[in-house]
Amino acid sequence: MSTVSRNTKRPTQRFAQMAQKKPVKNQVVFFDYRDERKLKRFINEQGKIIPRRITGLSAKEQRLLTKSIKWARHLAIIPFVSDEVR
Amino acid sequence: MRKLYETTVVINGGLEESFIQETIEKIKNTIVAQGCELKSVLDQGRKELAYPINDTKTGYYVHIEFMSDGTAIKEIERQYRLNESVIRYLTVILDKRMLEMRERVLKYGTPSQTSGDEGTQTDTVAEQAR
Repeated sequence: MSTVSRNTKRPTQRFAQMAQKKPVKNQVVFFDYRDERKLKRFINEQGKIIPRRITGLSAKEQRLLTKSIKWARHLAIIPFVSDEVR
Repeated sequence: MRKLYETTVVINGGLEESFIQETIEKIKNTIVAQGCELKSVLDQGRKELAYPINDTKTGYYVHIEFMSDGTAIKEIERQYRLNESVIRYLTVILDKRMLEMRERVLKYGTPSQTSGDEGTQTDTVAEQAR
């Protein structure tokens, strides 16, 4: 009995530790498809969308971001491709 | 089910001011005529396009929020296509995630807009890295 209880206890403890280490959700990141300046941060000089590993957004936020960028491109708020790159 | 929609219209910026205002009125009238309830109209005025569309370099941006049950969208977008002064349009549903993001923009966005953009932006990036 004691071994069983130990086995079930250990993983839950580990999960609890992992949950504690999880970074606090950053509420400061924001963007809006209607404003060029609010999207500039999430595209590089070529006009490409910056990946999640660099923006640090959650999956949910990144999904909204890619959509917002594509809407903004359609409305000619941000370019599809910046021509400054040679 | 009635949902909150937002439609963005880009009108040819090379046209005369009176004609543009007339077009906006016409669009508003079509939305109301379809049984939708207008919530707000955000007139952003002329902006330079990121790329030329039909040899036009500037566009007049108008964002209109309205409540609709979705059946009206088809007719509204058909009217956009018939209108030659409308060069681009987009209609999106303002759902929970969009409204949440809008709130954040209002909460944190205003100070960074007034002061230098560059400095505050690098700060937030640094916060993320931590």
